[in-house]
Amino acid sequence: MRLEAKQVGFRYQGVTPWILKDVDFVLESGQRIALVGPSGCGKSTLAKLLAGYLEPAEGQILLDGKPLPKKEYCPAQMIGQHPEQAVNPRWKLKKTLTECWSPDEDLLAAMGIEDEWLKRWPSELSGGELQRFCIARVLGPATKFLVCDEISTMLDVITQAQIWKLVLRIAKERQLGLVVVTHNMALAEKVCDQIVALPDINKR
Amino acid sequence: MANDKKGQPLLEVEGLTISFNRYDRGWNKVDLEVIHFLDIEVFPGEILAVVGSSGSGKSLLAHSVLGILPGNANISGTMKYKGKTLTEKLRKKLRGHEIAFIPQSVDFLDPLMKVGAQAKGVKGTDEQMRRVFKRYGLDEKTADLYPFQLSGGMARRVLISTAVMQEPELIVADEPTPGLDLTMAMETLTHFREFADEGGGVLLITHDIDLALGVADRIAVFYAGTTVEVCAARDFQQGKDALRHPYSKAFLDALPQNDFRPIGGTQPYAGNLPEGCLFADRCPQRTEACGQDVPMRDLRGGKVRCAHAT
Repeated sequence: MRLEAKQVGFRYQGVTPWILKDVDFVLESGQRIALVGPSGCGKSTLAKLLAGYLEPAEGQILLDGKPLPKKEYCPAQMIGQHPEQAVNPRWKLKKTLTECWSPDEDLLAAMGIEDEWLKRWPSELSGGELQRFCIARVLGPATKFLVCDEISTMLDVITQAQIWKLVLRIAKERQLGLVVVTHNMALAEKVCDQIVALPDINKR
Repeated sequence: MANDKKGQPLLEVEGLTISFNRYDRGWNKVDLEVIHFLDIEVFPGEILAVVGSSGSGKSLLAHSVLGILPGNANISGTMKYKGKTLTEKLRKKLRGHEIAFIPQSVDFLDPLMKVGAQAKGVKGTDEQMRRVFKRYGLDEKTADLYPFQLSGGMARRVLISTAVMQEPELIVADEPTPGLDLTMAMETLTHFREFADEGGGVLLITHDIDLALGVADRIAVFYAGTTVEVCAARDFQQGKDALRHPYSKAFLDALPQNDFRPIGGTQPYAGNLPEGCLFADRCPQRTEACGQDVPMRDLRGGKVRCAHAT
């Protein structure tokens, strides 16, 4: 499969300056691309566009040549930067985790998710603990592309290495395509097979 | 970098234990102990970096120094500032003046107040605010913005400005660098270094260990709510063999610029801690001795909580 941004431009409310302009970006299944650049250059905005959370003001986001589906599970899933903002504060975590699919015991153990945590509210877990739920819930079989926006800055380095090992193993097994947004160049080199600097492809 | 441990520590925490009283089932309440017998010291003129697993109680330590833990927290152990026991009254007097706090989350900004006024606080002046904003690369117009109009990196810099406005003696910084790009992050840490060189003390809680190593004097490694090792920053730079605790060694191995190799297992859950060494079930050197209580001991100029470290 192929996830593609075609001549994509984005700005808020049609009056503010362009954040992205004429961006072309192609991700094939099985490819792992790191997206780097200084803060404020539009990395997260492109990530949200690719996962369908924002609509481009110009151009198109295409999945195998067709627009992203609106009324069913989107095969391009995003994992965000702030896990505490990505979970429903009024749902216990079991409900959040099983919203789209039911992860098996092995995956939960590999992610380091304790059984005890499933019964808690999001406010009772740390950022690093919540992020594991956010990652586990999008690893379902219908996911074909993962957009990872700074997913491991709130984790300690051992957990970061553990979780990336697991995500990479699953990505290899299922030929997932990965976009990895990060400030950490060492991490980008370890995790991805290609590094793209956003300012180079953004013609704003 | 001065590290002679001369004189009186600025901040001294001894045997700190924090537990949360929470509802279990119905009206039953249970105590969940999240920090156990934690010791740290910050001396004037030094940066103590605190690293460790997420959920190991790093932020709780910061919040307990400031006295801003929620009401259901029970705290025991002693905390001293310049030799005087930190009581609620003394904390109230010191925080915001002599002790400054840089919180981890940008949610700590008041969403309904312009950031200039927030940074200024009660006692700051416009003059001070302009100077500090300039130092952190914030435009003069930034002062008139509300928090939602700032990018993540700008909000982070406002938080830092707020803390240094009153010329404190101790800065407690809880993850001040995420969201900042490398140059900005490095610059912030350099400011901390200058601040420490002028005689202040910094408790720097961070995940960016490679950056912290460049400025810190000593490193404290946390695991499951306690310190497992305290050592000079250069031990981390020298590599695995200079370190003492197996967890610190594993930490170094897992860095993306090193092997990016994780160890198995997870940190034990606070409600279900094993007897003896907390790291035992993930440790390659485990023996029967690890089932006993493992005290902190001095070793090669640092401190370690491990029966086998040499």
